Amino acid sequence: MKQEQNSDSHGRAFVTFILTRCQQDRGEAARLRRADNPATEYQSWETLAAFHIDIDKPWLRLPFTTVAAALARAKVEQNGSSGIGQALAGCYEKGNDSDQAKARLRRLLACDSVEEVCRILRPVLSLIDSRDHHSLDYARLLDQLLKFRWDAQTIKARWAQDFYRRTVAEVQP
Amino acid sequence: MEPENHFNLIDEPWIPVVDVGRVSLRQIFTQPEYRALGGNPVEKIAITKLLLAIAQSAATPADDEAWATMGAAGLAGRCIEYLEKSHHRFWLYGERPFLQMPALKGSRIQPFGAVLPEISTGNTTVLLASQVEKPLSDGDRALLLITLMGFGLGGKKADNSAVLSPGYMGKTKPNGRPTSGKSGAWIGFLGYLHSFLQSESLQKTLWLNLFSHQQIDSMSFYTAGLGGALWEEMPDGETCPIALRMQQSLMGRLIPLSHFCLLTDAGLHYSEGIVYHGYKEGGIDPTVAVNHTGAVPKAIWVDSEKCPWRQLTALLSFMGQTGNNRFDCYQLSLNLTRARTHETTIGVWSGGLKVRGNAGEQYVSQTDDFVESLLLLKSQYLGELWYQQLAEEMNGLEQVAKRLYGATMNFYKTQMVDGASQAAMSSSLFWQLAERLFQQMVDACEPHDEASETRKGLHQQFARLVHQAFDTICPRDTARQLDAWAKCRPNLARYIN
Repeated sequence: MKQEQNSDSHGRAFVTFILTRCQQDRGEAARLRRADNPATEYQSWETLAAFHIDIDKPWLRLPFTTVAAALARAKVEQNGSSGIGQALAGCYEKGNDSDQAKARLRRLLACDSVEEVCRILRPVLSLIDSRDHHSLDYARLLDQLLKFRWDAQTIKARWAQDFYRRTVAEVQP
Repeated sequence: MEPENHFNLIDEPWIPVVDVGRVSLRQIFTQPEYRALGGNPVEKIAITKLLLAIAQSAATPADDEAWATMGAAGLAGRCIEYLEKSHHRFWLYGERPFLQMPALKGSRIQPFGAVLPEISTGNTTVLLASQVEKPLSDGDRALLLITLMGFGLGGKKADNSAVLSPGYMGKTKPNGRPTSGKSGAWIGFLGYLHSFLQSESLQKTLWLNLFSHQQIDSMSFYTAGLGGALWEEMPDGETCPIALRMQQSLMGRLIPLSHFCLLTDAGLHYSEGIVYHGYKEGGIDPTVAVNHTGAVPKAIWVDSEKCPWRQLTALLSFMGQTGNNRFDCYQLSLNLTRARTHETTIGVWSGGLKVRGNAGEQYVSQTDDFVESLLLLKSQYLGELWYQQLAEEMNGLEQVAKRLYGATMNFYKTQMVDGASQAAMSSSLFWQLAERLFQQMVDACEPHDEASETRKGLHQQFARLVHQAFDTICPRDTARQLDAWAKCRPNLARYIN
């Protein structure tokens, strides 16, 4: 079968792959939950390698481990639809007016490298997992993280816009 | 010794024409292939008015029918005949120099740069080489002379101690000292916006703008009617009978002689000339748009921040019955309906020079500049429906520009900075970007089915330009900027849908 090279479907394929693995093997799900901790990360390498990921390249490995750990921890059954900005705003009562949410977003926007953004995302993802009623679009997040290395500014702009996004209905008086 | 007649405007090249260079008056009327006038907007207005003055003297048709029968070629032929007959009156130098007052001899001589708005003289700082005065050829001097007839700026450059009409007190203060010169009839206080119809050839343009006797009679504010050409009979002074007649005739508006000049080798004698009523006192130039519906008449001024195409709805407001906002520009309103039946596409040219004044002294500074724009209208669709659609679209554009201004302001406010100047920049950038699409918008206002689809597409393009202007003026490099940028970015969902 021809391997899809499109990075968009890459994220989607990985999310489906992890969701299936977690449902089939609870041991593997437990190992994946530890994937975003540098000390225990090696336990997930087997799964990543099964998905043909170059685990010796941190800018490739870290986005996958971050998303895999978040997926395993959230115990979701399927991929959601809201972007990271929207999900972050959804965690607070005041939404994008909340100072705490803004501070977290701003920290995210200040990141310069994939390594840094993955480190900062970790607590954000657990926050979303604990509070958010929306479901996060993990596939899109992974795609964005994979692109972050060469197009950080666009990705960050998209996150920020996503955070402040108003729907058409809200704008109309 | 009597000065020798030389440099005849009919034979010598002095009029700038696009794609051709300098041509003579004879060439203008014998070569139908000339497309349009060249030079800066002020020169274009001045020469168009001179050519119209020649055309009106040579062949003013009785009514629209006579005008249509004559045609552009017929008009050119009549003008040539007229020019050949009046050849002796068009010498730039000589005993009867063209549109000049030999009586001024003895008054102060000004260098030519002093009366050119773009040249620095006196203690004005020179920033660019283009601001340095250069020697003028005879052709340049002729052009300058025509321009000065109505575009002379007010101020002390005019030597008002030279009074030609005995007993005339208009140029003397109560204490006996001379006053500052008043601004020319074509420029007014801030610079009027002049508009003409334009066609694909220069001769046709003149034909389209030519008034018939019937039309002149309908403009009741010209009590003296058409009036006589200046070169046939020059006034002797500021208030002689000829000057008084000129103040009330159409010819007086075409060549106003607002400043008296006399060219010499070293410069020119320059003094205030015939004073015309401004638009507030009922003095109307057919090319200037004035709104008479309010308590105080309002004219459309040149605004260098606001290009003339943005005034199109105001200039054409005679098409819609829009009550209090009705501006009248007789050059357009009287001639556009007439031209519709003869031309498939009619151009509306508008332009002028923005100036500012202080204590009677006028000058060009800061953002003041020449402006001009040309829009093509398809005569098939012209009418109230088209006009209302255009007004609506223009209104929409104004709204999104306002939204952009507010958004930029907010972006800077979020970061505790005053963003008024950046907001003005972003809005002006948007208008600059939008100019390229405006002709398409004018075409898309036509009342047929595909047009509404086109308009929808154009809305999206305009919205993209709003975002482009916002992104250019609002940086998003740091996290804080990025945050503010996303928060304030204008949401144009309503405009697009």
